[in-house]
Amino acid sequence: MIGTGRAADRDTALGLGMNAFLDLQADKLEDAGEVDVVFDVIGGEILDRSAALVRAGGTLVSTARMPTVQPKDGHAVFFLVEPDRSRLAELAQRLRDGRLKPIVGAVRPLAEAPAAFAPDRRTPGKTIIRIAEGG
Amino acid sequence: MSQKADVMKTITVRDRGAGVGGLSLTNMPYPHAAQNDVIVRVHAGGFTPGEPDWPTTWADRAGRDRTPSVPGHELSDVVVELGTEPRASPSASGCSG
Repeated sequence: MIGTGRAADRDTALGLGMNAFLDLQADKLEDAGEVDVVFDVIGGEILDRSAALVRAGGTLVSTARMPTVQPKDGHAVFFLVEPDRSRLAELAQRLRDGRLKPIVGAVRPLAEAPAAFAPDRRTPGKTIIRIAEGG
Repeated sequence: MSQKADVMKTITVRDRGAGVGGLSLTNMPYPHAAQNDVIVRVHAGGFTPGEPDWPTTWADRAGRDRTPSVPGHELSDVVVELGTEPRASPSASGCSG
C-alpha cells in the first residue's frame, strides 16, 4: 500500500499503515509502479496520470471527479458516499474499535469558521467547528 | 426543555463567485420542520472546501435558489423536532456526509 501527498503528510501516512510514501512534489508518481487499485481524492492532473498506474483488471477510483483518462485494461469509477443508517453504524463501530482513526485538525467555534476555512490556510487533518458547549 | 429560539446562528454563503472567502456568520430564522423533515441541534460540523463550487449548494433538487445557503454536510447532531410524517425513525444522534 503506497500513500501519496505532500512531504508534511509522510509520517501521518506511514503511521496509518502505508508501506511506502511518494511525495508528489519531489517524487514521480510513476515510481509507484503498477498497482491493483488507485484511490484518488485529489483529482486534476494527478488523477489523469494515475490511470497509467492501474494494472490489467485493476480499478481507478476517484472521489474528486469522474476520471476522464481510462486505465488501459481496467475500470474507472467516480465514487461519492451515499450515507445510510447501517453503514454509518458500522463506521461508528469501527471508530469505537480503533480501526478507524479520524485525523482531527483544528477545533474552532462557529464564529471563527470563516477564518478557519480561509483559502490561504492549510491545517493538517479535518477542521471541526464545535457549536454546542461540551458537545 | 429549552425555549424555542427565534433565530439560529449559521455560516452562510451568498456569492457564488466568492468561494470559501464568502463564508459569513449570520442569524437565520429558526427552521420549520415540514413533512418528512427533522430539525437537529448540531454539536459539531465539518466543511469541504469544494462546497461553494457544488451546484447543490446553490439550488435544491427542484432547482429553486437556496441562497443564502448553509454549507456543511458533515454533522454530529441530536434530533430535537420532528415534522408531521418523518419517513423513518431517526436515531438519537447521527452523522451525514
